[in-house]
Amino acid sequence: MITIPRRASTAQLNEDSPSQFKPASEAEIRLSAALRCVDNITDRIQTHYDPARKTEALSVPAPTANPTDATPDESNIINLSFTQLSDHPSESFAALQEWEGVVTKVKDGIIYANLVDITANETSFEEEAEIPFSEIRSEEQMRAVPGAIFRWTIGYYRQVGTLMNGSVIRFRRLAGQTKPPLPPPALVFEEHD
Amino acid sequence: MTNYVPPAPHELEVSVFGRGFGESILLHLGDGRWILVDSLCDKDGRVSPLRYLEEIGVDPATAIKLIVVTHWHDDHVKGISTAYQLATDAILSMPIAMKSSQLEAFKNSARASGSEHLSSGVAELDEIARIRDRDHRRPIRPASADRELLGYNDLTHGHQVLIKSLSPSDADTQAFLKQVAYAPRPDASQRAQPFDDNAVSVALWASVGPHRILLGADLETTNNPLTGWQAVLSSPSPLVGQASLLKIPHHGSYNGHHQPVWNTLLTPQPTAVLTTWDLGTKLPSQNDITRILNLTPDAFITSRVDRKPKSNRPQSVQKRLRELNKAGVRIHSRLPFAGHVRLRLDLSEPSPIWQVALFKDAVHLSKLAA
Repeated sequence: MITIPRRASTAQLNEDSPSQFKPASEAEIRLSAALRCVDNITDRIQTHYDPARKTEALSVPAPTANPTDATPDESNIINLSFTQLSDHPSESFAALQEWEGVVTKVKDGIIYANLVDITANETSFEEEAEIPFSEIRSEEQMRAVPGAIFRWTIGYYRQVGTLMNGSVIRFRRLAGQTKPPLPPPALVFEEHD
Repeated sequence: MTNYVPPAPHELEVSVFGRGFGESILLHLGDGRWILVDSLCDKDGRVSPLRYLEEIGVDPATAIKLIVVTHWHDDHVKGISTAYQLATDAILSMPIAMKSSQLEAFKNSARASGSEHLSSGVAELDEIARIRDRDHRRPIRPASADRELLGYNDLTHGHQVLIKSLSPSDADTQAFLKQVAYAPRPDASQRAQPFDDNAVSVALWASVGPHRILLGADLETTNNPLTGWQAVLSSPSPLVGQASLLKIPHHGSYNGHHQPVWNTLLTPQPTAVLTTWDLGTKLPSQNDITRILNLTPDAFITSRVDRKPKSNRPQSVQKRLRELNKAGVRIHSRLPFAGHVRLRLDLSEPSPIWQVALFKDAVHLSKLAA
């Protein structure tokens, strides 16, 4: 998905200019803990997935459950697909919606996945997604196998004075060595002939 | 809350629940004795069939006599450990293929998978093992071809009741164990996926006096006479009678359809029920619907196949999702509650017929025909 950027002037996007971009500034205040550069987002996701650092991961603020009020002016936003996002250095990223997903099948260039809506604090698979392989960054594609866990975030991305829509799918990496949970007893069956 | 009425002691009931992903069946055998086959949860986390039992005033602790886990797939086991915990008088039955050191080894390696938001994929099985051990419950009853799981001859309707498992066959069990033994172990970046194998599904045959019910689980048909439905039909102990009610196997898929089953195990034009599969390839397909409706006009389904994304998200998110949709990204929401097809047979009548009631999103299958 490519949308021609409607670039606003630097002056318009200057956070010190209170009139035009007050909504964006409010968004950043409300979501200040969630506003990170894309690199930081990546780090955040990796941290989040590291069981050895679970306490730290849990301290990372989740995106606001209802960020409608914090939405920047739509007229100043351009769209950016997954693939494009990796090509652009960024200054900040505000997550609007996050899922955690598990790939269930990869077939005919499409990834099928079960999703848990993290933003809505859901705890079970209430949605499914079909995501074309082309929408996954090339370095992530090799990780898209059945069972693979990923984090999918969509939101706003600020780069050198321009707000853009961004969407990031990041597959979980191998975590550090952690102590496995105590195994339960084995399933015990009746004896049979 | 739906205004349900519980079945009378002399009424057979088969209630089928489904919400696009997930399937469960309740059978009332008479005198308040129930069987639970598989499990699914509503969006609020409550186990759909247990919600129904509560709404008709049935206590699962004393009423559920048998729980059958037909196979280890997410859409059949969600909430099954909750049901097992509450149904303290129930015998639990699973495919005999689940009794193996190979599977225990796989589960051991899978426990570190998942995340704080996602269960490991073996969590329901582990919880069952913990409950059984902690509460000193009876050992699990293995289900396989031609095996009696439960029987009664003391019910007030006067009919003998027998519940048999028809599968998995020995060949299917051996193939499953081989698959488990050689399966790559999930690492910490993955969630353990139950094996993509319906061959070890437990199909059930319920015999209540002269009446028969066939519950097809997800059992499929193959070219191998030792596996799937072919193995069921070639059993050395042929089934007596024909079923007037069928839970169609594997969401009506062509690979669950075996015409000789319809020719030999079922009455002409039986009452049929199926559940939808709404992830990836949608089931039943239009071809499946046509085939089923040609076999019986009395076919019912627990929910429609097509579902829409959530609409209660902020406008900004919905707009982003519409844009992603243009790039081929599709998101489907599950129904908040399971649709419910309820069928009852009044055994006090001389020639009873199945009485059908549809709740929530359940419809006659013809409603899905193009």
